[in-house]
Amino acid sequence: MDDSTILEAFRQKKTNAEEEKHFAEVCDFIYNKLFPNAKVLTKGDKSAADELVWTAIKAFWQKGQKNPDFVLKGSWVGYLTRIMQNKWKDYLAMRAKADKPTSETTFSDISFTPFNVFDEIPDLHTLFWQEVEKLTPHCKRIFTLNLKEQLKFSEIADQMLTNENNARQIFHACKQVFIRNILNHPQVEALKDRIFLT
Amino acid sequence: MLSDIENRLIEDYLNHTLSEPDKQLFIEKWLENGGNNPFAKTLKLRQTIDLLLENDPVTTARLMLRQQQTNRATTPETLHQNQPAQATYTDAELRQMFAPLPEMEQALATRSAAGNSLQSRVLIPLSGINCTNSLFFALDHAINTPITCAITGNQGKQLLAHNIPAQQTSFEVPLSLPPGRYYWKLYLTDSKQRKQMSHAIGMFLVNADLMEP
Repeated sequence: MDDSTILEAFRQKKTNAEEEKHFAEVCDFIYNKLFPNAKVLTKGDKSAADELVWTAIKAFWQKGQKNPDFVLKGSWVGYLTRIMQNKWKDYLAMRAKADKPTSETTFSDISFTPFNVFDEIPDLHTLFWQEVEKLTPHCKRIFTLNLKEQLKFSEIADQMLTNENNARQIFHACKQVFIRNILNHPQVEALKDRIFLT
Repeated sequence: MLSDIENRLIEDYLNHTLSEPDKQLFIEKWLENGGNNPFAKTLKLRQTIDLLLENDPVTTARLMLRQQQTNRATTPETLHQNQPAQATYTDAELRQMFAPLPEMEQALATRSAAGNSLQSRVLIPLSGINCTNSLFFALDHAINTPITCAITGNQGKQLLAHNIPAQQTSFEVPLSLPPGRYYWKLYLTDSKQRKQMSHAIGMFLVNADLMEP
């Protein structure tokens, strides 16, 4: 996979399933190159290494979306490797000064924690859509249009015979119910119990 | 359970409505125990759910790849492949295969990544990486002359040399090596130019999991 394919994938907005699939392939390529190195940083902690790689991929994605014309001075892998190294270094520094926050500590210090939700709830994707299925038909419809069909709110409004603002409000209200439901799901509850035991 | 205040802090943080005094409280809560605390973990859980609801492409890709991994891991063929391999090495043999080579370890400890050296150009692999059938290199900038990658075993014997064309920022060196500890060395193929950039070295392991208890 060449550098331009990778950069292009991070610059483009994803608008359909085909593009999402292609982007996942690019992420897979990057992940496989970075993960063994992340494991060196985390001293073999696979879960933390996984989180670290995805944190770097996310930061790279945000950069591409913020400024699609950005030009990398070096290679993409160099950029991502530096993000991983810096995030891990910051994390170790934060751990070292744990419980001693100073007035100089800012939001930028809150950058990385190795806690890996995807490892803790391996079937998060299935669980997510199971909870969508439990919503009212109205909410289920707007979730499907927004998340599966990836329609814009103006398009959703057309389908639901309402205006864009209303469509946003409906989605927001459904989202609140959904969040409440998913946080009360037994698997999420079990995770929360584990969180509080550690 | 989180307190009402903690839950409110999380909500306000996610809605970007934290007041200045709350910001400091939020930071204190988050930093407790080096970020390994119920507040920080609950926040991350909430953020993950929010990302799913925003159809965040990176989160979607992550889930998609996890799903593929799970599916692959549960096919009859893969289940068979994933069976632990028969141990064919004794503990003594493994210890020997993974034993460090003192002169190379010394060179690694004292290697310099200063200035324009080739060592300073190599971003990955990080020393100590575990690999199976290839070693992926990435340089911060391409080098305008061909490079040679030499692989040495932990007995000090060079096992292979791989030529890399000029102008590459990344390249892969295929490996077919038994488990053990190895060292790589990159140097400019052109001996006249070699002096300018010196060389780069690193250590890697093949099937390091065999060494795990």
